[in-house]
Amino acid sequence: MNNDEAKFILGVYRPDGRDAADPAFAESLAQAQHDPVLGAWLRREQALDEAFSAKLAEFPVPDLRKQILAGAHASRRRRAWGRGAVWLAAAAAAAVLIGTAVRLGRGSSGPGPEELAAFARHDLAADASEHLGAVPGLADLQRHLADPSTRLGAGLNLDLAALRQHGCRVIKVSGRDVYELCFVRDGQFHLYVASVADFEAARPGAAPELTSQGALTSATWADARYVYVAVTDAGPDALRRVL
Amino acid sequence: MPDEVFPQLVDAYYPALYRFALSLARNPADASDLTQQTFFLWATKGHTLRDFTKVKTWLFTTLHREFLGMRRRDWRQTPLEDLGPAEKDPPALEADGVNKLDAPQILAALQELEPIYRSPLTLFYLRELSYQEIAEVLEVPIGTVMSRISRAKAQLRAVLAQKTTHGRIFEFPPQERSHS
Repeated sequence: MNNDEAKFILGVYRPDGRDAADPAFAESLAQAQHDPVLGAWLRREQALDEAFSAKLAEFPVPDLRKQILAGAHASRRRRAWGRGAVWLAAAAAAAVLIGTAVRLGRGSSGPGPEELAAFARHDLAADASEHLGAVPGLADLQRHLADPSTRLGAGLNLDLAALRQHGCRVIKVSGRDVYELCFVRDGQFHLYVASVADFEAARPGAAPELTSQGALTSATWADARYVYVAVTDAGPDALRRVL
Repeated sequence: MPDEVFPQLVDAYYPALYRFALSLARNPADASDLTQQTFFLWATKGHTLRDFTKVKTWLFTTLHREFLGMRRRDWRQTPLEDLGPAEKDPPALEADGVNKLDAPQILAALQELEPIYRSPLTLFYLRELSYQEIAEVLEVPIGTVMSRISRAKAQLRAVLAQKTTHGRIFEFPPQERSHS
């Protein structure tokens, strides 16, 4: 590879290092390290690219947020009636599951974690407008959940009373309080949390149990204090990555 | 795909989408329309996207397609010219020279580039997308993105070189001279 070819390739190398792991740049970058002329060119080029990027980022952006959200709200409302068949199928299947779980639960003193999981899948499939998404009072926690280094399966240090106080959505399942937190990583995730004392047969410390139903996948696990159900439509692999 | 993530997407991407739209459309009203239309399309069609990691590429691709559609409707069609060989020796320009300019001057210079060069270079400078993702957004091969960004940089430097003389930066866009 001569220097002109290396310059051609390095011309699309972002100066912030985000392309550093891309093997397409490896040979050109190595050449720039050993060739002082090419190295000096790359430094100048990157300084110039940095300068242009910084200037572009300075350009003021009008506040379109409210207009965008308002416009989308109207279209979402219309779409809600015709939500995809996959969601309807999932909702129907989840409703059957819940019915089964409730019937099986009769005679015992409380619901089990599988009932919570069935509820969570049903809750996600049935009406997305009920979910709160970003909650200002829970922003730090939601950021923590969205952080790729956070592994939910390791358990979370939560205070349910504080969650309620800060605006967390709370749903009654068989008379028990269940708290819902939403976050985004490789997809959208909904984490349902309840006191482990409220859901019998939860086994603290056991590996998360994955269940797929239509487009939705849930994982159920428990620690000493809480039982958790995470639900997503991003697929089992995406769900495993957050556990 | 449920809707509560929508405000997060808007917050994350609308400034970059607007800046990309502004570089393409060259006026704030059209840029605002393009940005809003892109999110409207996401609100109505985005739920069909199964791979959530592609949301960013989807948004930029949609905005670019909407711009091309708007251009076809509103402007006369101009055939793509023969690109010719890339410039090997673009005008010299140092980062200090760019730092002396303000953001509207840089944007105005970008807007002077031909659209096929302006789009990839703006996306490159916005830094949101890799060159592979830029190729996806513009629906061209990776090699084409590389050559267009290379030529775009040369064009941009040529435009800026015209605006600077003897180290002095002229007001940009140039004001009309008054006749005495």
